[in-house]
Amino acid sequence: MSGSGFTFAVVLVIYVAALLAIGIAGYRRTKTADDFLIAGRSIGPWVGGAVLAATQISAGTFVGTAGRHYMAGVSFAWVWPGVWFGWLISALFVAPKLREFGARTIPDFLAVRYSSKTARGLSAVFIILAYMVQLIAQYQACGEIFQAIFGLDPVWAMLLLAASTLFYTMLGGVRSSSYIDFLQVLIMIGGLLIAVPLLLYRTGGLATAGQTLTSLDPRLTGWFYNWKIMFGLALSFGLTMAAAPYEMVRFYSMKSKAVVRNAIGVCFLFQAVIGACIMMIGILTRALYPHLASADQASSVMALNVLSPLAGSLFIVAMISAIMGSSNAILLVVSAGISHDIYGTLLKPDAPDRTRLLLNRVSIFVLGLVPIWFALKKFADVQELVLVQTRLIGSFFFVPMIFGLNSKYGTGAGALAGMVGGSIGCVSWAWWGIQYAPNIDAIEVGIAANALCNFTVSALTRPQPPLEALA
Amino acid sequence: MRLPAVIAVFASALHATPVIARYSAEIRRESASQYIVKVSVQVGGGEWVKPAFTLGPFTTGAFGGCDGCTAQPVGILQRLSPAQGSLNLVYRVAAAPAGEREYIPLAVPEIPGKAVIGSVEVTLLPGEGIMLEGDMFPTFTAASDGRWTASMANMVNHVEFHAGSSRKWLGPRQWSDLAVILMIAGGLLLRAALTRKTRSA
Repeated sequence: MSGSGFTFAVVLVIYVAALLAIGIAGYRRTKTADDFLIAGRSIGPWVGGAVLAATQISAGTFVGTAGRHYMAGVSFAWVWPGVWFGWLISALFVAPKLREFGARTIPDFLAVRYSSKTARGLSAVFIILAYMVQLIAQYQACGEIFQAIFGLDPVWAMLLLAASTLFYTMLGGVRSSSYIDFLQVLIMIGGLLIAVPLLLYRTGGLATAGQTLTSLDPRLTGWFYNWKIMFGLALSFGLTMAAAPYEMVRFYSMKSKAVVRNAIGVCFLFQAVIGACIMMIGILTRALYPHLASADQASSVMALNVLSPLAGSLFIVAMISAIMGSSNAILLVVSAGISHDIYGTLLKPDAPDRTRLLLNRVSIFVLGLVPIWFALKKFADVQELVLVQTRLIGSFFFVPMIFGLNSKYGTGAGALAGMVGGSIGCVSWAWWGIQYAPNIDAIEVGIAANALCNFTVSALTRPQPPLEALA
Repeated sequence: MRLPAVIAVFASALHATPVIARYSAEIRRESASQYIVKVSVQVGGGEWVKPAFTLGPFTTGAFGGCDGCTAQPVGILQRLSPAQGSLNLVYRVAAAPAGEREYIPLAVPEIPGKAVIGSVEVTLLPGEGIMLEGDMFPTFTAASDGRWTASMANMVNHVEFHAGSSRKWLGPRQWSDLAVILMIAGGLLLRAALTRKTRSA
């Protein structure tokens, strides 16, 4: 960022100072594990909507989705209707019912609904594994951004991200992270709304940009992937969105069922603006920089070269915000899996509240550092890593959550068989099945296998007596 | 070294991907109506078979042809193929009418660059006594001999500037900075108003 390093440093310092202030304020108000995990159920619709948007808008969006638009053009935007379909399912069939249920975590719900402690343990372990992949994507994206902009070694960028995210997550839990998410969404939208007009100006307007893209590759303004692959990708995002533990757990922190529904509407609005802007950034950057070394660097290159130092700094801070927002949400949900579902419920149910809170913070610290090693290995591009996580989560959780909340059918053994069968189906299809039928996405196989195993085993087994009601 | 490792090394050498290690472009005002652009690249990582460059967009007939290379129109772009064995290009572009913004397309190689800061350099010679006014893209720095240079990590498809005899300060970048400042000020005012409302309630 020639001549603008100082501007970026100033913007970043102000931003980090704001995060610390909110984190410390959250810490002062966090007295119990309930405060930490569900913010005392005090979050309203606007902050709640921003929280949902910030949780979903991640490095995958700013780096991966913009990169996919750079590579594949306009047609990749068809993943967004999938995401919004997922939110619609969530608003109608998941969120209000889950909020009414009154649990703290998703394994809580599965354990009580299916009268199965094994379902609790298994789902907690699966959440930890699947979300570590998502966390690796966030770290990798952070490395890409800092390397593209400052030529900084990715490991330092990842350590910086870990340090700042861990600090405010460990301090204030869900309460402070909710207010930080609200601030982050406003920064994201501001950064995007400033970037798009400037990019349009540089590319000579929409018509010239469209003609340039068509001349570069006609698929950029037409279909890059065929509709079956796009359908699979949209389904992958949508079905995961409807049953994603790190999104759903945020419903628990909201004031009421009505607030949850309104928050989803607000989130929808934020995402529509962000999605449209991200598409424009990806394709317009392709028109300006037709052959970048890595598609994942499209948004960083744009921020560095096209925007002014101040607007570029704001945009980079917005990207870092998106990464931090998601990392924070993931850390909260995986640490809750360890401290609440595995330790506090299965291993030591009589553990005092203070010990659980301490374990929560320790697990956040440890889990925040582990993905750095994997991210440095770069097993896949950022969007691919996000897709792996969405396929795993959708294949595991979608069927037991949707049917568990909306139907009385299904036993604990059936749910377990479904979750195991779904994840095996998804992984084995992604591993070798896809080469025989590339138009069928692994999540379609995973969900079908989950439903088949669940219904078959449920038909053959009897429901177990209910577990103790939730505390 | 075991056989699989030897095979892996051999295979990676066979599939070595060429990248642009260094890209330099010189834009010189040849006459009142024309610029001449010289592009040269250095390739690393492997052989670049059939080198080709993308040039454009040209919404008007501004392309003035290239020396020693073939140009093939592809939509509103031109696809330039240098003479065999060469990685240099020389082409001409029409200058904008007096007082209007200059828009000079740069030939971009059809293979990616290394994305290393400083590996892409664009030099601009707008003519004696002429300076770049206000908004320019990418950001050029003036050198003492009338040259303007931009050093980057990635290859961009054009440069644009306003040539004149004095500097102008208000362009799109400045407007976007103003938008950022207004947005932050608006956010702070909104927060203050909300805090006051909450306290009074």
